[in-house]
Amino acid sequence: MKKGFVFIETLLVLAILAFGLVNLCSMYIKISSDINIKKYYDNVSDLYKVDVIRSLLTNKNVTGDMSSFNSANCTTYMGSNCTTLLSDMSASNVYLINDVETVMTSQNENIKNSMREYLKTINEAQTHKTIIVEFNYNNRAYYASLYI
Amino acid sequence: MNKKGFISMAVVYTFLILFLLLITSLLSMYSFRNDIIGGQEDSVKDELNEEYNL
Repeated sequence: MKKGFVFIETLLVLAILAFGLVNLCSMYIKISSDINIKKYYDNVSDLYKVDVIRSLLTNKNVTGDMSSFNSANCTTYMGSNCTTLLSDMSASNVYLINDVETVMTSQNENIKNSMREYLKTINEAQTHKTIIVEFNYNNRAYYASLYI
Repeated sequence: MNKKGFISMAVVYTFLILFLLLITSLLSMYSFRNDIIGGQEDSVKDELNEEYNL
């Protein structure tokens, strides 16, 4: 009689423990991925930097699905002081995009994996032209984007 | 009557419950902070996008 009770008690405790730990684990995974998204994407300071870069754009034409430039070849899209500006802002790449979803699904090899991960977090339904800036702090890629 | 088993198991379960409570409260705190920061970023982004959002 008592052995049967101990067995059922053990089973019950194990079931409750397993349920609780699985819940905690899934909660932890979701929260940690959310924290990573918030940490590397669309930081407030980066958004204001993107706003400055956007206001200095002289050429908003996008060739194909996406145009990109960096501090070395930015004079076509921005003024002559763009090299210093982008370097000072730690902006390693600037992308001008017509449609986020098209770029995300394209097989373009120039699009980095980190960029694709960022694109997944942007609202896919939007059809605005978008400027995405990749910042590089401590060898980590940070992304921020605004409409153009 | 031998009560040693009962006491030790009570201690083990108490620590387990405390651990689960601690982890849950930590995670909910992180989640809460995350929501606050996310809300700020979204409002800044919306504000900056306002004039371009036709």
